[in-house]
Amino acid sequence: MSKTLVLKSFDGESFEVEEAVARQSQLIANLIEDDCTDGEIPITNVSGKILEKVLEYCKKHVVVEGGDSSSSEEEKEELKKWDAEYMKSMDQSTIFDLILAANYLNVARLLDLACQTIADVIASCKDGAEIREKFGIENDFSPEEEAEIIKDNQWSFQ
Amino acid sequence: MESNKDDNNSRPKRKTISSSDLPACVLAAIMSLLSLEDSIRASAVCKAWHEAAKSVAVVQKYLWVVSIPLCGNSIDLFDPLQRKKYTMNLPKTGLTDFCYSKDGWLLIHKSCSLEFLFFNPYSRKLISLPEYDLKFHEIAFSAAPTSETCTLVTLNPISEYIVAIGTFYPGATEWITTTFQCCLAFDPNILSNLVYTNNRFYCFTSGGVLFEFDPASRTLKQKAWKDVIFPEIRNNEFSYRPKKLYLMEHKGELILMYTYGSEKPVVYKLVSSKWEEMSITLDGLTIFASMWCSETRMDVLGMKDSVYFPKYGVRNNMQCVSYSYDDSRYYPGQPNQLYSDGNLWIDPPPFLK
Repeated sequence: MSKTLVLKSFDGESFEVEEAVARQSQLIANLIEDDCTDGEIPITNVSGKILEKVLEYCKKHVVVEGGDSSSSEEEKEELKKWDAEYMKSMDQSTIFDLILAANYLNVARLLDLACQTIADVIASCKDGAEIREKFGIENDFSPEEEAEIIKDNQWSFQ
Repeated sequence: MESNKDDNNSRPKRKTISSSDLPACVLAAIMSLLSLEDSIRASAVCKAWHEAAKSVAVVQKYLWVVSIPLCGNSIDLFDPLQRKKYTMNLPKTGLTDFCYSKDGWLLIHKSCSLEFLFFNPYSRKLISLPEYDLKFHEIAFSAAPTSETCTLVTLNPISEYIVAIGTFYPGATEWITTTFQCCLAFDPNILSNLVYTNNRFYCFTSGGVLFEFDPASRTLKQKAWKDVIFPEIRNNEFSYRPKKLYLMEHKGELILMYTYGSEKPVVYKLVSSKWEEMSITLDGLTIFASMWCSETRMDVLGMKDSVYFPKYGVRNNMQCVSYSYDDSRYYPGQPNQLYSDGNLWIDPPPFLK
């Protein structure tokens, strides 16, 4: 007897999902607990495109949520591979959008996964300049500030 | 379908989302996933990243050497990186031997006596224990004796298949001893020290057997592996060379190390019930090894991928004996002996930043 909910993105897209899938968002779980839903929940901060990606993750992960000890090593490996492919399917801008959505909806494991992906990209860069290039970030330090930071960090690059 | 055109500021803008759109707490969460070196690099990217990286940067503390000079009235604390020694008087005389160290507390006893004490050199607190009437091979405690969960355990192999385990909880009046019949031989050739993790005490023998004691249920489990029986340790061929097994943990995973004379320390990590050798690198870990107990720390700048022994001397410019996996050598030079009698590692003073 699985209940379903309808989630509506701010740009009008509707998604029907099982309650168990949607509950992976702590925000939605709280709304359900507080009985604030009448079957349809507006997700005002998330676009249809991103909400779809979030729900894709939630659907995949709800299967294994029966209890960590019950899933075998193989199943865990499978899930890890799926997570990796899932993250690879998105460009950087989408990943950031996903992070914002996972943060807003409070889907802890998805947030962790996406943050780890970004952390991995940072770790793969060999210096600050490469990081800026990869993420399209402007250096907003003044020359003096930058020199100060390099001096402070000198001791760590032994 | 037309999108809503209301001016909700929290709505994600329809443009390329970049890291500058991330709230500070999320940026900090990303920074916390980076190694110390990567987060330092990230802190130099822009002001927002600098703030986030700084907020999570934790400089890993390293352990100090603690030793008792012969007179038995004072102890020496030595900072191995700053190479500075501090001496402090012991509140009680005649204490000469360390047995274990954890969370800034030392287990000491008077030589030739069964009287044990807990001592914290920083708070100078001393806690006496009732006498333990059996001899033991190994002893360990799980946490500071001032904590609720502190458990003290002794291990005494009586014969090849029989072991006696004693437990004591600070605040109790006496020790409780249980004798266990083991199905796997306790091969008392060489025993590692006891280590506490995952609510259990562990000990490894040179016969390749891991003993696991659960103090809550007072049960003993054993597991054997064939591929971690170290021939150099078991052969009596080289019996003149000192051999030692060390057991420690990192984030709940057991790490086994053995030294044989002053050869390169051999390190194994228990991953999914298999011992994997860490022969080229320790993945950023520093091992602080000593006769009675060993600990690990991650990401200690200037000490990574090394094993440190609590031995230093004026002759070597007060540099601690260590083995570096990056450089494949011992510092300051090939040692004659890896450990000074009875020196241990201890957590640094808590008031240091």
